[in-house]
Amino acid sequence: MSAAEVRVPVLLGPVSCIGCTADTRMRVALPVTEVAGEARAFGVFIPIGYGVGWGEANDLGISADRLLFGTPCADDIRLSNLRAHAWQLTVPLLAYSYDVWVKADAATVLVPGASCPSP
Amino acid sequence: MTTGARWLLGAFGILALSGCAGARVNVTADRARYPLSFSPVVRDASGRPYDARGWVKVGWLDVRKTTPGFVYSALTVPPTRDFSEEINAQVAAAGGEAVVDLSVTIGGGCGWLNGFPILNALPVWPGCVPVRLTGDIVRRRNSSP
Repeated sequence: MSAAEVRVPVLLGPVSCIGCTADTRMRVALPVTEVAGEARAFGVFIPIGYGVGWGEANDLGISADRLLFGTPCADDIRLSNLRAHAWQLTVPLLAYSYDVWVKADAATVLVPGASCPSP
Repeated sequence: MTTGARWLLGAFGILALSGCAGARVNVTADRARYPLSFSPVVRDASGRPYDARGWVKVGWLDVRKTTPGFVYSALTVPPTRDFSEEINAQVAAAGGEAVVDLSVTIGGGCGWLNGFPILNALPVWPGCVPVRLTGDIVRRRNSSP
């Protein structure tokens, strides 16, 4: 899960900026949206080799970019309730399935006096 | 016993040995002393944003924590892992002011445990979730170390 293409801070933790102390600039945060990066796969064991599988993986960065499409660049994004999950089901000799994801709640945070990155 | 009955019995046997395992953990950095940004942008106290042109990389953050789970991933111990202490130590050691391009990933190190055949049918069989936080430790170009 990353947000490498986003042009505003996407923050985790209590410190909002360089030189700030915890929570000094926390403001109204709306709306809350869930963002996620996930990978799923289903495979069938075959007698020779490692088996065959099908799956998909999504990068949170894509979701975050879409989330931020209409977000003013003077706002920050704050992530909370970040959770990670890994799980696998195995049917001996037949099949397996795994599900891995990272999810978080994202909210825009007003930053008084903030300026936008130069183009 | 007919051939069909044997196949049916075998299928039930395999299904009875089916199992699953894993874990789910809440990731926090509630005691971090530095701003942590998933994007390449971080602001200073005046609200001015700094992107890659405004900061210089002084180090690489890398923190890994693996958390076990039980009862088919329903019970994770502990349910929350805080990464603050390791983040604070690594940023301070590098002389950084912030972490940018933060990334949270789940490694493949628990695949063998979560997918262990037959034994993962038992509720006491442990699973796990290996969480890794990485990012660039940076400081502003115009700041003195």
